Amino acid sequence: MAIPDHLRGCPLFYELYDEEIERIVKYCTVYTFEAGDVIVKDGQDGNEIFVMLEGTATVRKTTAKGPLLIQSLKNGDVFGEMVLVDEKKRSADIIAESHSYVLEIKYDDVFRLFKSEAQIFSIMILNLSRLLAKRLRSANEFVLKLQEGGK
Amino acid sequence: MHTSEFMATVLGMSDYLIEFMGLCLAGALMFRLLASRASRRDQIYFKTFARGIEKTLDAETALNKIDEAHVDEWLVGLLNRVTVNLPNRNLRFGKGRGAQDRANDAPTRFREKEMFTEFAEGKKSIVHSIRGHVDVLKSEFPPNFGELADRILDQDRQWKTVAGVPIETVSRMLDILPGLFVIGGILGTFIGIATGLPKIGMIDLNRISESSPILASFIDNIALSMRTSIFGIMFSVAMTVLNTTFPIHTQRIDVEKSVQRCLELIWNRIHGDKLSHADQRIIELLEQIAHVGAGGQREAVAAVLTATAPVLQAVAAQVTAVSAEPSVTPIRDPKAA
Repeated sequence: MAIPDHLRGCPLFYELYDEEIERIVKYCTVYTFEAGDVIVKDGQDGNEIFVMLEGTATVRKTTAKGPLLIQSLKNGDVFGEMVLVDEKKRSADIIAESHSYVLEIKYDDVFRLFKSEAQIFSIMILNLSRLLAKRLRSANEFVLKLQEGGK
Repeated sequence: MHTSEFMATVLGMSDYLIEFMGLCLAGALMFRLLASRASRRDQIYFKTFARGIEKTLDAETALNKIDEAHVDEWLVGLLNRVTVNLPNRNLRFGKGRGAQDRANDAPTRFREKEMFTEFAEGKKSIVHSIRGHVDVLKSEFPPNFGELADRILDQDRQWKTVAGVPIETVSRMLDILPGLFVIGGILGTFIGIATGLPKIGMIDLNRISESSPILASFIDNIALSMRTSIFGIMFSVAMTVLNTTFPIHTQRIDVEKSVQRCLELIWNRIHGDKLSHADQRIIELLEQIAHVGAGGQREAVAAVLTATAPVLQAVAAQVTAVSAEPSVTPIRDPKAA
Protein backbone atom coordinates (compact mmCIF):
# COMPACT_ATOMS: atom_id res chain seq x y z
CA MET A 1 0.00 0.00 0.00
CA ALA A 2 1.30 3.45 -0.83
CA ILE A 3 1.24 5.21 2.51
CA PRO A 4 0.89 8.95 1.78
CA ASP A 5 3.93 10.91 2.95
CA HIS A 6 1.79 13.11 5.18
CA LEU A 7 0.71 10.03 7.07
CA ARG A 8 4.31 8.90 7.49
CA GLY A 9 5.19 12.31 8.89
CA CYS A 10 2.17 12.42 11.18
CA PRO A 11 3.31 12.79 14.83
CA LEU A 12 1.01 9.94 15.88
CA PHE A 13 2.99 7.49 13.73
CA TYR A 14 6.59 8.46 14.56
CA GLU A 15 8.90 5.45 14.83
CA LEU A 16 6.40 3.11 13.22
CA TYR A 17 7.22 1.15 10.08
CA ASP A 18 5.06 1.51 6.99
CA GLU A 19 3.66 -1.99 7.50
CA GLU A 20 2.68 -1.09 11.05
CA ILE A 21 1.00 2.16 9.95
CA GLU A 22 -0.78 0.13 7.30
CA ARG A 23 -2.09 -2.34 9.88
CA ILE A 24 -3.51 0.54 11.93
CA VAL A 25 -5.16 2.51 9.14
CA LYS A 26 -6.10 -0.32 6.77
CA TYR A 27 -9.74 -0.39 7.75
CA CYS A 28 -10.08 3.29 8.66
CA THR A 29 -12.15 5.72 6.66
CA VAL A 30 -11.16 8.77 4.64
CA TYR A 31 -13.68 11.63 4.38
CA THR A 32 -13.67 14.36 1.77
CA PHE A 33 -14.63 17.92 2.77
CA GLU A 34 -14.92 21.13 0.81
CA ALA A 35 -13.97 24.61 2.02
CA GLY A 36 -16.40 25.75 4.74
CA ASP A 37 -17.56 22.25 5.72
CA VAL A 38 -17.66 21.57 9.46
CA ILE A 39 -15.41 18.57 10.17
CA VAL A 40 -15.94 18.56 13.94
CA LYS A 41 -18.55 20.49 15.87
CA ASP A 42 -18.01 21.94 19.34
CA GLY A 43 -19.90 19.94 21.99
CA GLN A 44 -20.47 16.98 19.70
CA ASP A 45 -19.88 13.48 21.08
CA GLY A 46 -16.94 11.74 19.48
CA ASN A 47 -14.92 8.56 19.72
CA GLU A 48 -12.48 9.06 16.91
CA ILE A 49 -9.28 10.94 16.14
CA PHE A 50 -8.53 12.53 12.80
CA VAL A 51 -5.47 13.04 10.62
CA MET A 52 -5.45 15.71 7.94
CA LEU A 53 -4.24 13.77 4.90
CA GLU A 54 -4.53 16.66 2.50
CA GLY A 55 -5.85 20.20 2.70
CA THR A 56 -6.14 22.83 5.42
CA ALA A 57 -8.57 23.54 8.25
CA THR A 58 -8.93 25.87 11.20
CA VAL A 59 -9.74 25.19 14.84
CA ARG A 60 -12.25 27.78 16.12
CA LYS A 61 -13.98 28.38 19.41
CA THR A 62 -17.13 30.42 19.69
CA THR A 63 -16.84 32.97 22.49
CA ALA A 64 -19.04 35.76 23.76
CA LYS A 65 -17.00 38.15 21.62
CA GLY A 66 -17.42 36.01 18.51
CA PRO A 67 -15.47 33.16 16.89
CA LEU A 68 -11.86 32.85 18.02
CA LEU A 69 -9.23 31.26 15.76
CA ILE A 70 -7.19 28.88 17.89
CA GLN A 71 -5.04 27.04 15.38
CA SER A 72 -4.58 26.22 11.71
CA LEU A 73 -4.27 22.62 10.61
CA LYS A 74 -2.28 21.42 7.61
CA ASN A 75 -1.24 18.15 5.99
CA GLY A 76 -0.30 15.47 8.51
CA ASP A 77 -1.72 17.27 11.57
CA VAL A 78 -3.67 15.27 14.15
CA PHE A 79 -6.81 16.57 15.80
CA GLY A 80 -9.52 15.24 18.09
CA GLU A 81 -6.91 13.20 19.95
CA MET A 82 -8.24 14.19 23.39
CA VAL A 83 -10.94 11.51 23.15
CA LEU A 84 -8.19 8.92 23.43
CA VAL A 85 -7.34 10.21 26.87
CA ASP A 86 -10.52 11.20 28.62
CA GLU A 87 -12.76 13.63 26.81
CA LYS A 88 -15.78 12.39 24.99
CA LYS A 89 -17.04 15.76 23.81
CA ARG A 90 -15.40 17.94 21.20
CA SER A 91 -14.05 21.17 22.57
CA ALA A 92 -13.92 23.33 19.41
CA ASP A 93 -15.19 23.63 15.87
CA ILE A 94 -12.91 22.44 13.09
CA ILE A 95 -13.73 23.87 9.70
CA ALA A 96 -12.21 22.89 6.36
CA GLU A 97 -10.49 25.78 4.59
CA SER A 98 -9.90 23.96 1.30
CA HIS A 99 -10.69 20.67 -0.43
CA SER A 100 -9.55 18.24 2.25
CA TYR A 101 -9.11 14.53 2.89
CA VAL A 102 -9.40 13.56 6.53
CA LEU A 103 -8.54 10.14 7.92
CA GLU A 104 -10.73 8.97 10.77
CA ILE A 105 -9.26 6.52 13.30
CA LYS A 106 -11.77 5.06 15.75
CA TYR A 107 -11.01 4.91 19.46
CA ASP A 108 -11.77 1.18 19.31
CA ASP A 109 -9.30 0.65 16.45
CA VAL A 110 -6.50 2.11 18.58
CA PHE A 111 -7.37 0.24 21.75
CA ARG A 112 -7.80 -3.02 19.88
CA LEU A 113 -4.04 -2.81 19.27
CA PHE A 114 -3.43 -3.25 23.01
CA LYS A 115 -4.08 -6.98 22.68
CA SER A 116 -3.04 -7.71 19.13
CA GLU A 117 -0.10 -5.30 18.61
CA ALA A 118 1.11 -4.24 22.04
CA GLN A 119 4.36 -2.75 20.71
CA ILE A 120 2.58 -0.58 18.16
CA PHE A 121 0.04 0.44 20.78
CA SER A 122 2.82 1.50 23.17
CA ILE A 123 4.57 3.59 20.52
CA MET A 124 1.30 5.24 19.53
CA ILE A 125 0.46 6.11 23.11
CA LEU A 126 4.00 7.45 23.60
CA ASN A 127 3.56 9.57 20.48
CA LEU A 128 0.21 10.76 21.76
CA SER A 129 1.81 11.71 25.09
CA ARG A 130 4.51 13.65 23.25
CA LEU A 131 1.86 15.42 21.21
CA LEU A 132 -0.17 16.36 24.27
CA ALA A 133 2.97 17.47 26.15
CA LYS A 134 3.90 19.71 23.24
CA ARG A 135 0.45 21.25 23.18
CA LEU A 136 0.50 21.69 26.96
CA ARG A 137 3.85 23.47 26.71
CA SER A 138 2.46 25.76 23.99
CA ALA A 139 -0.60 26.46 26.15
CA ASN A 140 1.65 27.27 29.15
CA GLU A 141 3.68 29.69 27.04
CA PHE A 142 0.48 31.28 25.81
CA VAL A 143 -0.87 31.69 29.36
CA LEU A 144 2.46 33.18 30.43
CA LYS A 145 2.32 35.69 27.60
CA LEU A 146 -1.24 36.59 28.53
CA GLN A 147 -0.23 37.09 32.17
CA GLU A 148 2.75 39.22 31.18
CA GLY A 149 0.47 41.24 28.90
CA GLY A 150 -2.00 41.72 31.78
CA LYS A 151 0.64 43.14 34.05
CA MET B 1 17.53 -41.16 8.67
CA HIS B 2 19.87 -43.69 7.05
CA THR B 3 21.09 -43.18 3.51
CA SER B 4 19.16 -46.23 2.32
CA GLU B 5 15.92 -44.92 3.89
CA PHE B 6 16.48 -41.52 2.34
CA MET B 7 17.07 -43.11 -1.05
CA ALA B 8 13.92 -45.20 -0.67
CA THR B 9 11.92 -42.04 0.12
CA VAL B 10 13.37 -40.24 -2.89
CA LEU B 11 12.67 -43.22 -5.12
CA GLY B 12 9.12 -43.44 -3.76
CA MET B 13 8.54 -39.76 -4.48
CA SER B 14 9.86 -40.15 -7.99
CA ASP B 15 6.73 -42.16 -8.85
CA TYR B 16 4.79 -38.89 -8.58
CA LEU B 17 7.29 -36.71 -10.44
CA ILE B 18 5.10 -36.29 -13.53
CA GLU B 19 2.09 -35.34 -11.40
CA PHE B 20 4.25 -32.88 -9.44
CA MET B 21 5.54 -31.28 -12.64
CA GLY B 22 1.95 -31.12 -13.93
CA LEU B 23 0.89 -29.29 -10.76
CA CYS B 24 3.79 -26.85 -11.17
CA LEU B 25 2.71 -26.22 -14.76
CA ALA B 26 -0.91 -25.62 -13.69
CA GLY B 27 0.26 -23.22 -10.94
CA ALA B 28 2.54 -21.40 -13.36
CA LEU B 29 -0.28 -21.05 -15.89
CA MET B 30 -2.60 -19.70 -13.20
CA PHE B 31 -0.04 -17.12 -12.04
CA ARG B 32 0.67 -16.21 -15.65
CA LEU B 33 -3.03 -15.63 -16.27
CA LEU B 34 -3.39 -13.54 -13.10
CA ALA B 35 -0.26 -11.52 -13.93
CA SER B 36 -1.49 -10.92 -17.45
CA ARG B 37 -4.91 -9.72 -16.25
CA ALA B 38 -3.37 -7.53 -13.55
CA SER B 39 -0.92 -6.01 -16.04
CA ARG B 40 -3.79 -5.25 -18.40
CA ARG B 41 -5.77 -3.50 -15.65
CA ASP B 42 -2.67 -1.56 -14.64
CA GLN B 43 -2.05 -0.64 -18.26
CA ILE B 44 -5.54 0.85 -18.59
CA TYR B 45 -5.16 2.76 -15.33
CA PHE B 46 -1.67 4.18 -15.81
CA LYS B 47 -2.04 4.93 -19.53
CA THR B 48 -5.31 6.75 -18.94
CA PHE B 49 -3.55 8.76 -16.26
CA ALA B 50 -0.62 9.56 -18.58
CA ARG B 51 -2.99 10.57 -21.39
CA GLY B 52 -4.93 12.73 -18.92
CA ILE B 53 -1.74 14.54 -17.91
CA GLU B 54 -0.81 15.11 -21.56
CA LYS B 55 -4.26 16.46 -22.45
CA THR B 56 -4.45 18.70 -19.41
CA LEU B 57 -0.98 20.12 -20.02
CA ASP B 58 -1.75 20.67 -23.71
CA ALA B 59 -4.87 22.59 -22.75
CA GLU B 60 -2.91 24.97 -20.53
CA THR B 61 -2.39 28.32 -22.17
CA ALA B 62 0.14 29.90 -19.80
CA LEU B 63 3.49 28.23 -20.39
CA ASN B 64 5.72 30.36 -18.18
CA LYS B 65 7.88 28.74 -15.53
CA ILE B 66 6.01 27.87 -12.33
CA ASP B 67 7.31 29.58 -9.22
CA GLU B 68 8.95 27.02 -6.91
CA ALA B 69 6.74 28.13 -4.01
CA HIS B 70 3.63 27.28 -6.02
CA VAL B 71 4.77 23.99 -7.53
CA ASP B 72 3.03 21.90 -4.85
CA GLU B 73 -0.23 23.76 -5.31
CA TRP B 74 -0.02 23.57 -9.11
CA LEU B 75 0.82 19.86 -9.02
CA VAL B 76 -2.07 19.07 -6.65
CA GLY B 77 -4.44 20.98 -8.94
CA LEU B 78 -3.17 19.19 -12.03
CA LEU B 79 -3.31 15.74 -10.43
CA ASN B 80 -6.79 16.36 -9.03
CA ARG B 81 -8.08 17.46 -12.44
CA VAL B 82 -6.67 14.32 -14.03
CA THR B 83 -7.80 11.93 -11.27
CA VAL B 84 -11.43 12.88 -11.79
CA ASN B 85 -11.31 11.28 -15.24
CA LEU B 86 -9.47 8.13 -14.25
CA PRO B 87 -11.25 4.79 -14.72
CA ASN B 88 -13.52 3.63 -11.94
CA ARG B 89 -11.34 2.41 -9.09
CA ASN B 90 -13.38 -0.80 -8.89
CA LEU B 91 -11.68 -1.89 -12.09
CA ARG B 92 -8.42 -2.21 -10.15
CA PHE B 93 -9.73 -2.29 -6.64
CA GLY B 94 -12.89 -3.69 -5.08
CA LYS B 95 -14.59 -2.28 -2.01
CA GLY B 96 -12.56 -2.80 1.13
CA ARG B 97 -13.79 -4.90 4.02
CA GLY B 98 -15.91 -3.03 6.47
CA ALA B 99 -16.89 -0.22 4.11
CA GLN B 100 -20.54 -1.08 4.48
CA ASP B 101 -20.34 -1.76 8.23
CA ARG B 102 -19.46 1.83 8.91
CA ALA B 103 -21.68 3.48 6.37
CA ASN B 104 -24.06 4.99 8.86
CA ASP B 105 -21.82 6.16 11.68
CA ALA B 106 -20.06 9.10 10.06
CA PRO B 107 -18.90 11.77 12.52
CA THR B 108 -20.27 14.70 10.60
CA ARG B 109 -21.32 16.02 7.22
CA PHE B 110 -18.91 15.07 4.46
CA ARG B 111 -18.82 15.06 0.66
CA GLU B 112 -17.39 11.62 0.05
CA LYS B 113 -16.36 8.64 2.09
CA GLU B 114 -13.99 5.77 1.30
CA MET B 115 -11.87 3.20 3.08
CA PHE B 116 -8.22 4.14 3.56
CA THR B 117 -7.11 1.21 1.38
CA GLU B 118 -9.28 2.58 -1.42
CA PHE B 119 -7.87 6.05 -0.86
CA ALA B 120 -4.25 4.85 -0.89
CA GLU B 121 -4.47 2.03 -3.43
CA GLY B 122 -7.38 3.11 -5.57
CA LYS B 123 -7.39 5.57 -8.40
CA LYS B 124 -5.36 8.08 -6.39
CA SER B 125 -2.42 5.77 -5.70
CA ILE B 126 -0.24 7.25 -8.44
CA VAL B 127 -1.18 10.76 -7.30
CA HIS B 128 0.18 10.05 -3.82
CA SER B 129 3.34 8.54 -5.29
CA ILE B 130 3.99 11.51 -7.60
CA ARG B 131 3.31 13.99 -4.81
CA GLY B 132 5.85 12.12 -2.69
CA HIS B 133 8.48 12.90 -5.33
CA VAL B 134 7.62 16.57 -5.84
CA ASP B 135 11.08 17.66 -4.67
CA VAL B 136 12.69 15.71 -7.51
CA LEU B 137 10.35 17.39 -9.99
CA LYS B 138 11.23 20.80 -8.56
CA SER B 139 14.93 20.25 -9.22
CA GLU B 140 16.47 22.46 -11.92
CA PHE B 141 18.38 19.49 -13.27
CA PRO B 142 16.33 16.90 -15.12
CA PRO B 143 16.19 13.69 -13.09
CA ASN B 144 16.60 10.18 -14.52
CA PHE B 145 12.96 9.83 -15.52
CA GLY B 146 13.17 6.08 -16.09
CA GLU B 147 14.41 5.51 -12.55
CA LEU B 148 11.87 7.99 -11.17
CA ALA B 149 9.03 6.19 -12.98
CA ASP B 150 10.28 2.89 -11.51
CA ARG B 151 10.32 4.36 -8.00
CA ILE B 152 6.82 5.78 -8.38
CA LEU B 153 5.40 2.56 -9.80
CA ASP B 154 7.12 0.51 -7.09
CA GLN B 155 5.00 2.28 -4.47
CA ASP B 156 1.87 0.79 -6.00
CA ARG B 157 1.24 -2.57 -4.38
CA GLN B 158 -1.03 -3.77 -7.16
CA TRP B 159 1.72 -3.01 -9.66
CA LYS B 160 4.31 -4.87 -7.58
CA THR B 161 2.36 -7.99 -6.65
CA VAL B 162 0.05 -10.55 -8.16
CA ALA B 163 -2.12 -12.54 -5.75
CA GLY B 164 0.12 -11.29 -2.91
CA VAL B 165 3.32 -12.60 -4.55
CA PRO B 166 5.88 -10.06 -5.85
CA ILE B 167 5.52 -9.98 -9.63
CA GLU B 168 9.30 -9.99 -10.07
CA THR B 169 9.45 -13.34 -8.26
CA VAL B 170 6.60 -14.71 -10.39
CA SER B 171 8.31 -13.49 -13.54
CA ARG B 172 11.66 -15.02 -12.56
CA MET B 173 10.01 -18.33 -11.64
CA LEU B 174 8.19 -18.43 -14.98
CA ASP B 175 11.50 -17.80 -16.75
CA ILE B 176 13.36 -20.62 -15.00
CA LEU B 177 10.50 -23.12 -14.99
CA PRO B 178 11.17 -24.55 -18.51
CA GLY B 179 14.70 -25.39 -17.41
CA LEU B 180 13.44 -26.92 -14.18
CA PHE B 181 11.00 -29.14 -16.10
CA VAL B 182 13.84 -30.52 -18.24
CA ILE B 183 15.96 -31.11 -15.12
CA GLY B 184 12.98 -32.82 -13.43
CA GLY B 185 12.51 -35.06 -16.48
CA ILE B 186 16.17 -36.05 -16.55
CA LEU B 187 16.14 -36.64 -12.79
CA GLY B 188 13.13 -38.96 -13.20
CA THR B 189 14.98 -40.86 -15.92
CA PHE B 190 18.05 -41.36 -13.76
CA ILE B 191 15.96 -42.40 -10.77
CA GLY B 192 14.08 -44.91 -12.93
CA ILE B 193 17.30 -46.39 -14.27
CA ALA B 194 18.87 -46.42 -10.79
CA THR B 195 15.84 -48.26 -9.46
CA GLY B 196 15.68 -50.72 -12.33
CA LEU B 197 19.33 -51.68 -12.73
CA PRO B 198 19.72 -53.63 -9.46
CA LYS B 199 16.86 -55.86 -10.58
CA ILE B 200 18.90 -56.95 -13.58
CA GLY B 201 21.40 -58.45 -11.14
CA MET B 202 18.65 -60.64 -9.71
CA ILE B 203 18.11 -62.45 -13.03
CA ASP B 204 19.36 -66.02 -12.99
CA LEU B 205 20.79 -66.59 -16.45
CA ASN B 206 20.44 -70.38 -16.05
CA ARG B 207 16.68 -70.03 -15.48
CA ILE B 208 15.87 -67.21 -17.81
CA SER B 209 12.26 -68.26 -18.34
CA GLU B 210 11.52 -67.78 -14.59
CA SER B 211 13.00 -64.28 -14.67
CA SER B 212 10.26 -62.74 -16.78
CA PRO B 213 8.58 -60.85 -13.82
CA ILE B 214 11.93 -59.24 -12.98
CA LEU B 215 12.42 -58.23 -16.60
CA ALA B 216 8.86 -56.85 -16.75
CA SER B 217 9.47 -54.78 -13.59
CA PHE B 218 12.77 -53.48 -15.04
CA ILE B 219 11.05 -52.50 -18.27
CA ASP B 220 8.31 -50.73 -16.27
CA ASN B 221 10.94 -48.70 -14.45
CA ILE B 222 12.69 -47.77 -17.67
CA ALA B 223 9.36 -46.82 -19.30
CA LEU B 224 8.50 -44.59 -16.34
CA SER B 225 11.90 -42.97 -16.49
CA MET B 226 11.43 -42.25 -20.18
CA ARG B 227 7.94 -40.86 -19.57
CA THR B 228 9.25 -38.34 -17.02
CA SER B 229 11.74 -37.08 -19.60
CA ILE B 230 9.08 -36.86 -22.29
CA PHE B 231 6.67 -34.96 -20.00
CA GLY B 232 9.48 -32.74 -18.75
CA ILE B 233 10.40 -31.76 -22.29
CA MET B 234 6.72 -31.25 -23.26
CA PHE B 235 6.06 -29.01 -20.24
CA SER B 236 9.27 -27.11 -20.93
CA VAL B 237 8.32 -26.52 -24.56
CA ALA B 238 4.82 -25.35 -23.57
CA MET B 239 6.19 -22.89 -21.00
CA THR B 240 8.90 -21.63 -23.35
CA VAL B 241 6.35 -21.00 -26.11
CA LEU B 242 4.05 -19.15 -23.68
CA ASN B 243 6.91 -17.09 -22.22
CA THR B 244 8.05 -16.12 -25.70
CA THR B 245 4.64 -15.47 -27.22
CA PHE B 246 3.03 -13.62 -24.32
CA PRO B 247 5.81 -12.06 -22.25
CA ILE B 248 4.62 -10.28 -19.09
CA HIS B 249 7.36 -7.68 -19.49
CA THR B 250 5.96 -6.10 -22.65
CA GLN B 251 2.86 -4.59 -21.06
CA ARG B 252 4.85 -3.48 -18.03
CA ILE B 253 7.54 -1.77 -20.09
CA ASP B 254 4.78 -0.01 -22.04
CA VAL B 255 3.30 1.29 -18.79
CA GLU B 256 6.71 2.35 -17.45
CA LYS B 257 7.37 4.34 -20.63
CA SER B 258 3.96 6.07 -20.36
CA VAL B 259 4.61 7.10 -16.76
CA GLN B 260 8.15 8.20 -17.67
CA ARG B 261 6.83 10.37 -20.51
CA CYS B 262 4.19 11.84 -18.22
CA LEU B 263 6.83 12.74 -15.60
CA GLU B 264 8.98 14.36 -18.28
CA LEU B 265 6.00 16.47 -19.34
CA ILE B 266 5.33 17.54 -15.76
CA TRP B 267 9.00 18.42 -15.18
CA ASN B 268 9.18 20.36 -18.45
CA ARG B 269 6.00 22.23 -17.57
CA ILE B 270 7.21 23.10 -14.07
CA HIS B 271 10.38 24.53 -15.57
CA GLY B 272 8.61 26.55 -18.26
CA ASP B 273 8.95 23.96 -21.02
CA LYS B 274 12.68 24.48 -21.03
CA LEU B 275 15.11 22.16 -22.75
CA SER B 276 18.25 20.77 -21.22
CA HIS B 277 21.41 22.88 -21.58
CA ALA B 278 22.89 20.58 -24.23
CA ASP B 279 19.65 20.57 -26.27
CA GLN B 280 19.47 24.37 -26.14
CA ARG B 281 23.10 24.70 -27.24
CA ILE B 282 22.58 22.30 -30.15
CA ILE B 283 19.49 24.20 -31.33
CA GLU B 284 21.31 27.53 -31.12
CA LEU B 285 24.19 26.16 -33.16
CA LEU B 286 21.90 24.59 -35.75
CA GLU B 287 20.08 27.91 -36.10
CA GLN B 288 23.42 29.63 -36.64
CA ILE B 289 24.36 27.04 -39.29
CA ALA B 290 21.07 27.59 -41.09
CA HIS B 291 21.55 31.36 -40.89
CA VAL B 292 25.10 31.50 -42.21
CA GLY B 293 24.46 28.67 -44.68
CA ALA B 294 21.82 30.81 -46.31
CA GLY B 295 24.35 33.62 -46.72
CA GLY B 296 26.88 31.28 -48.35
CA GLN B 297 29.69 32.15 -45.94
CA ARG B 298 31.90 29.06 -45.95
CA GLU B 299 34.31 30.23 -43.29
CA ALA B 300 31.52 31.06 -40.92
CA VAL B 301 29.95 27.63 -41.49
CA ALA B 302 33.28 25.97 -40.82
CA ALA B 303 33.69 28.02 -37.63
CA VAL B 304 30.22 27.05 -36.38
CA LEU B 305 30.82 23.37 -37.20
CA THR B 306 34.12 23.55 -35.30
CA ALA B 307 32.27 25.05 -32.35
CA THR B 308 29.58 22.34 -32.57
CA ALA B 309 32.03 19.46 -32.46
CA PRO B 310 32.97 19.69 -28.73
CA VAL B 311 29.33 19.96 -27.70
CA LEU B 312 28.36 16.94 -29.74
CA GLN B 313 31.38 15.05 -28.40
CA ALA B 314 30.38 15.97 -24.85
CA VAL B 315 26.81 14.78 -25.50
CA ALA B 316 28.14 11.53 -27.02
CA ALA B 317 30.41 11.01 -23.99
CA GLN B 318 27.49 11.57 -21.62
CA VAL B 319 25.30 9.13 -23.54
CA THR B 320 28.10 6.52 -23.47
CA ALA B 321 28.63 7.05 -19.73
CA VAL B 322 24.92 6.75 -18.99
CA SER B 323 24.50 3.60 -21.07
CA ALA B 324 27.57 2.06 -19.41
CA GLU B 325 26.18 2.64 -15.93
CA PRO B 326 24.83 -0.51 -14.26
CA SER B 327 21.16 -0.39 -13.33
CA VAL B 328 21.09 0.73 -9.72
CA THR B 329 18.41 -0.24 -7.27
CA PRO B 330 17.43 2.94 -5.44
CA ILE B 331 18.30 2.96 -1.79
CA ARG B 332 15.01 2.92 0.01
CA ASP B 333 13.97 4.47 3.18
CA PRO B 334 14.48 1.76 5.82
CA LYS B 335 10.86 2.39 6.85
CA ALA B 336 9.69 1.38 3.41
CA ALA B 337 11.69 -1.87 3.53
